[in-house]
Amino acid sequence: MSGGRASRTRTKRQGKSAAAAKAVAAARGGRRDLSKIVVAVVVVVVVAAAVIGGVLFEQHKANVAAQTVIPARTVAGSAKYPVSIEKDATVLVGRPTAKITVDAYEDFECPICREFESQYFTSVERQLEAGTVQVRYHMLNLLDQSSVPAGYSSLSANMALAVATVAPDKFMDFHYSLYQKQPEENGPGWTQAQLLSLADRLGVRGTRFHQLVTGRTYYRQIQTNLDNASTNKALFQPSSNGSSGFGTPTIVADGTVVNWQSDTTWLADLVKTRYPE
Amino acid sequence: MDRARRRPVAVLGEGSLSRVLDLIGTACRLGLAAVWIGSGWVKAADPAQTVAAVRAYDVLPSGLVGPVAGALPLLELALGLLVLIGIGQRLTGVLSAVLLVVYIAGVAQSWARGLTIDCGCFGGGGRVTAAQTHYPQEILRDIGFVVLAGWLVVRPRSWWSVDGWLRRGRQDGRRQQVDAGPSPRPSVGRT
Repeated sequence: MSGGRASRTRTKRQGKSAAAAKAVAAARGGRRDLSKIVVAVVVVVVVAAAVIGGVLFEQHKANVAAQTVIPARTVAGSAKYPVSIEKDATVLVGRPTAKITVDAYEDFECPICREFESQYFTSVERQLEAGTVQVRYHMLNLLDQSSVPAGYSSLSANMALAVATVAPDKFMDFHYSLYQKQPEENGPGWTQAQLLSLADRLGVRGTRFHQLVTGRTYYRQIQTNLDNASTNKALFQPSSNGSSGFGTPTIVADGTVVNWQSDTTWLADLVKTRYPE
Repeated sequence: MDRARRRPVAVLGEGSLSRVLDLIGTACRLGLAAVWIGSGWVKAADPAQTVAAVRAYDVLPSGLVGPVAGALPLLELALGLLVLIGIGQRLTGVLSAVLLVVYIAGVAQSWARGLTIDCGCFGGGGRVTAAQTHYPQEILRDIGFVVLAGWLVVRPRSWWSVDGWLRRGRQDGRRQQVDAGPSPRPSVGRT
């Protein structure tokens, strides 16, 4: 039957061209795998570039921050009153005859402490010079973890205490300078080199000073002061989520915690009370 | 018939079920892209907050907090872009799912340890970040995103995707080859 043979032949031809097509497709299959590989490589390269780029950018920011020069600010009147470091690594400034004692629990990394300092520095300084007030600075490391890398709070507090030890007349300058130029919270804190540069420009240098700094002499006492303050209920203040606890800044005037954000005349009122005309 | 036998297998799927599945795939892909781009954008806009958030999980050594917080925004944006254009959907689906699982694990361990985000820096009613109490919602939300990514892993097909464009290019190439075919051989008489 010609029809049958023709159809068988047609089938055979279809079979052969199908087989041939498969062979071509197998050769072409190399291209399919290749484009899949290229896609995979593109994805991996883009993701890796993003990760590496992010890390490098963050390091670049830290490098830029490390090159900042902390301006050296001086407190002109600080020569008018004594400054001394106490055994518990707090710094007492002001004349001993002052009737009012203010305890300032602060952290150099803390932005709200900076707000307190910029808001009240002038009035506090005026009272210090007038001899009505003594201030005890408790420099703490509550926010050690807030700098990247961690540890700026301890570093700056330790160096401030070192300044108070070797050059007490420069302590107020150093303290003021650090609050005038505070590092970004959750960012790179100032490095030891930057802080040493500031101290040097303020005139604080020498072997003993460097030993106190590199030896981290006051670190343990700073931590102890923090632990004691954190558990001292008399220092607790309410926080926005309802609970109360210790935080910085805590300003205590004659034993009571001051709400300096709402009570802006707390210092003037206190002076008026203790020094009635 | 002849054409039917020679049609490449991959052209299957013109049925309405496959169209619906492609639609779902497209929705998953665009949704996942929106998640990554939105999240990456927020992170990139506030690097300090990103550092604080990474630290809040309290799971990385202190030296890694900075680099991870630096890498995450760009990683999420890059992933979002790749998912958006639909290139390597299965691979980006896998990467997305892996990253989401890492996030879920971080939130879960925060929850288990009762961690709260608390900067501790305040002054008489100033800034204390409220305690993080939305752990279950966060985990559920992230699991939802994993489902989107998982769909793309299982069925990486959607409309308007680079993958689809590449696939059509390959199919057209093969079809041209098949249609052209080898030169017909005289086979009359051969068995």
